[in-house]
Amino acid sequence: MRLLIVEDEPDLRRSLAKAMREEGYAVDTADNGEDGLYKATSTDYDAMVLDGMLPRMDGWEVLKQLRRSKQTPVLMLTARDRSIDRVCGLDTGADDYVVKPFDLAELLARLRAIIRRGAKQSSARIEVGIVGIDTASRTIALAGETVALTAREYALVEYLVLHRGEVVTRTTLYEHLFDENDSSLSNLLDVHVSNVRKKLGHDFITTRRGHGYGIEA
Amino acid sequence: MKLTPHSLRWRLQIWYGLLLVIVLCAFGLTAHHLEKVERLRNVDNELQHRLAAVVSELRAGPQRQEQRAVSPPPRQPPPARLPDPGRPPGPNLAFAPEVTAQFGEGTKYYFVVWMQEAEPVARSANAPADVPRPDRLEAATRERKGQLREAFIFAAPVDCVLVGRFTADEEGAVVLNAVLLASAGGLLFLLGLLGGGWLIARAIRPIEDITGTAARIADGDLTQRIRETHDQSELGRLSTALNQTFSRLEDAFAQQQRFTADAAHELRTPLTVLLTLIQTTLARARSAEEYRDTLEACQRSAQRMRKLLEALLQLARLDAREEPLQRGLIDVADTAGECLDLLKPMALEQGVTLQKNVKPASIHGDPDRLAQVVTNLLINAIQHTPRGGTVTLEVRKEGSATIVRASDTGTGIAAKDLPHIFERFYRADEARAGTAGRTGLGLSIAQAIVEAHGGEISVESEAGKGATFVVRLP
Repeated sequence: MRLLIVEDEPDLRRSLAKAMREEGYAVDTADNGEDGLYKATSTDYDAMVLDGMLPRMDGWEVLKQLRRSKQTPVLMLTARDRSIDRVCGLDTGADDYVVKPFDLAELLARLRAIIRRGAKQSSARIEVGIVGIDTASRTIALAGETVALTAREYALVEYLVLHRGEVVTRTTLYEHLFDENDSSLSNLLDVHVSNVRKKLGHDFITTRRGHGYGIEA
Repeated sequence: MKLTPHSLRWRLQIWYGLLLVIVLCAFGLTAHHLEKVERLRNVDNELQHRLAAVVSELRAGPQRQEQRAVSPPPRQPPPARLPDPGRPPGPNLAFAPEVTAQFGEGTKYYFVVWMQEAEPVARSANAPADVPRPDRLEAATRERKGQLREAFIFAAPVDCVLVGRFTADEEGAVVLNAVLLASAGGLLFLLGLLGGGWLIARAIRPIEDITGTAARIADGDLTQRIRETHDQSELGRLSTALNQTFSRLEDAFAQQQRFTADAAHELRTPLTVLLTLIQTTLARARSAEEYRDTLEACQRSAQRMRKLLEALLQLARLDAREEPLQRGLIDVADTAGECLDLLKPMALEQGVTLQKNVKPASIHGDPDRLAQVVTNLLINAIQHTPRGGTVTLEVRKEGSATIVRASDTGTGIAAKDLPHIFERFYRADEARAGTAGRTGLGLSIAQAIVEAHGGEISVESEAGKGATFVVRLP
């Protein structure tokens, strides 16, 4: 999963990005509204954390313009706590609204929820054959036994599972598993796929030559 | 409107009622008394008249007696006759008809004449039977049995002449008059009471209004005001003064609320940073270096909160005029010059040139606070000026006022931001709290301090063409 964090307060931005990378997300950042909008419209993020008060274009404006072209799940982060502000934010198109200061664990849980909703997945647990994925605890179990996966491997499985039944192109996978700072080496993806197959079964991920990868529904 | 025993209205009514009763009674009694006196005077006048008439008749001499006896006027003068020496001249008891007409049954007047004997020698027909002969030592008029008034005189040729009047029916008339007067008085009293009561109620009603409004304000609605009637009466002035007080109260409350809201709002961001930093770092085991970095970042946030809090408190105190300014004679040129000198290192770091153009200018003011203002303006100027630019400080006297100007060749202020620049927490787009350790309150505090000195602060600027802040102190 790839996220965009748009927050101008540097310590906060860095902290959030770090926390999310440690959760296994690929994270891009922006420190003002214009850049944030540009990135959000040119890349398909799985979710976006958007601060309200930003230089150059405030968060509400960014959201409004983003919604003209994208349905990216957006979690608004703001110091404005009045009911009217929440209503405004949600009506403008935010998927969730969190008031500062917030509990980090809660923020991450809400992010997971809007990502699930974005992928039309209502529950945190998904079963694919004998493989069970728990998106809340970010663990995978094979016939009940937890399997150790790296963060990238987990991210790959989670993405494919949330889009199971579809063929996901390599480009898409790159977009959603690596952030802008990773240099794209096409090998890396294959290595991850291979590792996952070793751990969860060869047939878990199917290859469509020339198209991409997928998981059977 | 309630009439409780303690109410002003009740008390006013009672006192007014009492006063009215006293005044009406006094007036009534006086009128009654005057009328009585007048009546008596009239009666006594009449008695005296008739008394004089009787006496003069009694003194009419023998000529009169003879004139009574002889009818036709004599053609010849009657032969002179010598008076009968044997008969002394006595009183003429044959009164002229016009005199006797004044006494008698229909007239209420009677007379009695005594000689030396106890029995009267003459009396009118209607004289009461038992008129006591007056004593020489008595006063000249007297009243008997409450219904007879008599005047008498001791005069020759008799011993005593008395004229009297029946006053019984007079008394009746007087009593009737008194009753009428009392009734009229009673009616007037009632009317007066009602009228007075209405006037009092009208006068008291504004007080009820005021009380009601004050109660509603005490309950919590600070926007309430007393209806003003624009009259200059005592109550009108009271209403105006109270409304002004209520407005000040409302402002004070609003200020306090604003302070709390501002503080809460502005603290959110540094608190968020703090919390997120800590929670992220605690999420898993970290290296000592990472912990160190986190702690340093936490410190930055905490410092930011501290500065913010102090700035807000200073503003609050300036607002409430809680901190009286130290007043001393200071030379603004010196104070401002010092501030400029202290900022030389910062200017050097930013590659900005500082220029000083000051002339002595003394005022009464608070040196520390004014230094705060100058420093704030200069720091702003330096931070908004790119490398190679210039910041100029000017101090001079203009008439009786002192002018301090801080101008820079920096990025300037956009027209849309210009009117808001002194507002709390207003940040023209680019500048953001925390990025340069600024609270967003510097200019608000500067304005408050300048205004506490009775001065004013203003700004001239165009986007891209630098800015000039002007402080004018009286």
